[in-house]
Amino acid sequence: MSAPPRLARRLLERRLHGPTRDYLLGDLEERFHAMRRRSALRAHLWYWRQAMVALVLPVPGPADVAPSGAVRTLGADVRRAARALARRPAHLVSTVVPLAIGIGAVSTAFSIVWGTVLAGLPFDEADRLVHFERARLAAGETWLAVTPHDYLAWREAQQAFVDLGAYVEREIAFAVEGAPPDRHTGVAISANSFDLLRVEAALGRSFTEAETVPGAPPVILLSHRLWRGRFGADPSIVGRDVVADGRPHTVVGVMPEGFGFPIAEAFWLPLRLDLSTLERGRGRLDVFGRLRNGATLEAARAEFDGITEGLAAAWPDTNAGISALLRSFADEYVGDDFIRTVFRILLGATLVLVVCCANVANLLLIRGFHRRRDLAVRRALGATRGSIVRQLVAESLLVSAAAALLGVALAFLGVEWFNRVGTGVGVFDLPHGSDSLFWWDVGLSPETLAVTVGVTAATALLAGLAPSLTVAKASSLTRRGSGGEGKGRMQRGILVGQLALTAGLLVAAVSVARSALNVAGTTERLVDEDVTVLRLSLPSATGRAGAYASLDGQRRLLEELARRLASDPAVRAATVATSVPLDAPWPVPFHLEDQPVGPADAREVGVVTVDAGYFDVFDVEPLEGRRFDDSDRAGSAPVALVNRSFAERWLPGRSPVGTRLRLGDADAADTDAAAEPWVEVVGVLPDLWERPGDPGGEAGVYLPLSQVGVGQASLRVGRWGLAYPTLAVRAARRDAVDAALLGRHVYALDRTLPLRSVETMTSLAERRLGRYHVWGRFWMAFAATALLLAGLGIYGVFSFRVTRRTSEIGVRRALGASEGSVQRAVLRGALADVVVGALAGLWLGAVLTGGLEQLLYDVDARDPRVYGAAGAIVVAVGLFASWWPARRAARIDPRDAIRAE
Amino acid sequence: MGKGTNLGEFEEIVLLAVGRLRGGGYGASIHEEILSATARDVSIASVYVTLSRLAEKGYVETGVELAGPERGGRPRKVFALTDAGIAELRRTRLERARLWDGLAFDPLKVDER
Repeated sequence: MSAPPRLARRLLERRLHGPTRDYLLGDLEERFHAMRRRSALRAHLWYWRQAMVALVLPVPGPADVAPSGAVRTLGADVRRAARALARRPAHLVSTVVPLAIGIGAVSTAFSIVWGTVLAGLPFDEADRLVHFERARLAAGETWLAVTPHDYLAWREAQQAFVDLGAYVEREIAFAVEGAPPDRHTGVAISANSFDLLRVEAALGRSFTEAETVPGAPPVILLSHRLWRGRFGADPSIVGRDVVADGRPHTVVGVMPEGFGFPIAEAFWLPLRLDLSTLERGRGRLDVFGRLRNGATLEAARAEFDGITEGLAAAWPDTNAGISALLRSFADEYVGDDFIRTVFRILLGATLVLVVCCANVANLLLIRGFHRRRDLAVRRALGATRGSIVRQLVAESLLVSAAAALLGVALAFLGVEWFNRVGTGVGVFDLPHGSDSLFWWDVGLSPETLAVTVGVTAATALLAGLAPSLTVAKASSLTRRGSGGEGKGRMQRGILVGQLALTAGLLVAAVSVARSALNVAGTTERLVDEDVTVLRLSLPSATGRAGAYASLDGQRRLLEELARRLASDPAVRAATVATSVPLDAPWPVPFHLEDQPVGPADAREVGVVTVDAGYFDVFDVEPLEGRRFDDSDRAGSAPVALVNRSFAERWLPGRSPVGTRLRLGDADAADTDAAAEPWVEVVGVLPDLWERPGDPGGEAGVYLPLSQVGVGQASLRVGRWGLAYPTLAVRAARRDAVDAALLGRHVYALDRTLPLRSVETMTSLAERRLGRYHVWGRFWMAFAATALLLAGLGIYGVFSFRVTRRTSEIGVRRALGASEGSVQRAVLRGALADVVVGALAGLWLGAVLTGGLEQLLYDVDARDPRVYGAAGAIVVAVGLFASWWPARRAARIDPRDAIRAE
Repeated sequence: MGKGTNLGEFEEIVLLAVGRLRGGGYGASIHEEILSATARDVSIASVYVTLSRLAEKGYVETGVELAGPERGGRPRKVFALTDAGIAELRRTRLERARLWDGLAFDPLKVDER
């Protein structure tokens, strides 16, 4: 213990610069030795204390090489700010927590926007990828697939793209011993696609042009997921044969992990186009391309206008009126509705952050008032206004930094929650019917963290700067009395703004909450754990040309399966249908016999083909008329049931039974309208929510399965609906029916038939309706946070006002004002602010709900009741929060007030 | 504390210590001087901060002396009063003296507590 403490000396050597370091260290050592003679321990303690002071003081020296003035003052500012904050932990918590919530909300929302919309596909220059569709704009049809003939003609003629690729969905099934085959979905894709995407196989290679020639030996490219899940990540799989759909396919490669182009594919087959056997105008493909360097999407659109016009002139029978629609690939798959929804969420989160900032700004203003004296002393001692502003901004920077750390933690939880509830259930109403896209990755990425940092800096300025300026202005001793008024106005302004934002968020939240309640109310009877839905895929069982190629063959198979299922003791009832409730059936144009319509007056209705078991499985009885029964046969008079929405909308005020309607497009080129049979309505069913999210289009028509194929419309519904049929089973007892039981019946009937999916109506409802609840929860959380903060804000501001007016109120009380009148006066002041804020907020609410259509079920975005409720909540919370300050004001004792003065 | 204002309390103490050391004042000796005269264990770093301010005002002048092993061979920076420093101390003393005059109690009498 003969030398000074080494660590302390080291610290000083690092902290100090230039000759001063030697002078000071020398002095300290000299005194240390002198003190050590009396007590070594005291000398050590002394040295440490001296070192600590030297570490925080800006020790100068004439010839010093010290940090620049700016850095030195910043360091001093931050140290001073940290000391000031540490003295008031309650204040620290009340500022850090709201800001953390705001920053967490924005970071979560931005992570979602980034991961789903902004980041795009994970390929080199992915923003140059364009998706193509065909449109017949005159008929309002914008979703037409591209025919192979057009694809090849486009590819030939175009200049704007490096090349065009094409794909079409496929499914394959791998045989499993003793159970239905294991089915997977993928695409058949053109060989040039992988070059266009700039992606290479992780193992082996992608396709060659030779492999796309019709008749070439079958080959397959596996996704990383399928390779791992089904083939145990066998590294020697390339070159080996795997049996899919009963035929050996040679594996040419395995794609990298995470690759699932275009949606979330499990495998890729070579796209083999044989135009010699394909009629022009038939066949369907999805087409994409990569724009050449320098080519713009606009130029490409213009080029394709010319190409499609040329094709229309050359092939008027198939191409007249057909144009090409070009969109960014990612936008096409994500969809405008989704993009609007998530950007609204981001906007909502940003508003929450602004409310949080407003709260903190008001707290800082109030705190500033209490620190007035302290700051005034500093100014009197020579501190400039700038240095005081710097310290206050440094304080808010420190607060924001702490809030950012906490906010990132909150965002982490938020993203976790979103991924758990979001991607599993159908939060996403995506245009192509998928639940998720392979490139989606919602998480805290460097980009989202960068945004958090930016948001934090902005927050620090927003919440800290304005109060700092006012406080610094008010801190001069001479103007001590005059600073209060302007600050009061600023406080009121912030408070009113905060209330407005809160009211706006509430309007959105109330709308979304009502929508969620409506959804829950309407679908209550469909959320049924006892009903299990089984979906099959007939084409993947035997290829395109099997026993199930004809509608009749399909129907016979399905009727037999339903009969076997119904006779199982575990099953109370079974049905075959083209779709079940919540599925969104095919919209088909129709007209009523006694209501002739023009072509412009397009009416559409969802058409479902069902058998007689449907009514038992879904436990519905006709409200009027009868069900389908054995008398409805292929040869008998065509019949239909309609639902209540249909009857109310199209046949108001009379009984629909006996009415005749005709399905099918009256002026479509490929149907002969006159050949369509008239169908007689024999009964009315209650609404079964056939078309989720489309209250206007909930009208439904039910056709008997026995008459499928009677008329073009029925044929078209049946062609898809029976190739991918849906069976539903009501269990005799809870949990009596499971996937294994259904699988056994299917396997016994046909070993090649794969199951597409098995789920209960409860889980189907969760998937289909999840978005109302998940997005709804976001808005409710936003509004609840804003409301809580607004309440605290009102409480804080009015408490402060009462404190400042203590002596004035005391004088009034001394002069005879009653407790009640004082209390009423304070409440009146609060009410004025609250009402102004609420009114401004309702306008904001109208703007916000304008973009939320996808979340609003049976809620009018302009419903006055919603606005009334939101306004009433804000006013109630405002009055509630100002009640205590008002009571405190009323209880002020005149003597205390004057003593305080 | 800009130029031309009065001496702060600590400035006055440091300046007096420098004067008492008659040109032999440096960090350690000033610390010892203040400790023995006032029983205040001041921080040497803050002494340097104050001395640099006093030097800016022109009240002290500085020089460097080489030193022996008692301080690890590190040089010491020595301080001495300038004429301006002496004048400022005088002025402060006079100002105080005028204020001390006419007090209602005896300033030198120790409290009988």
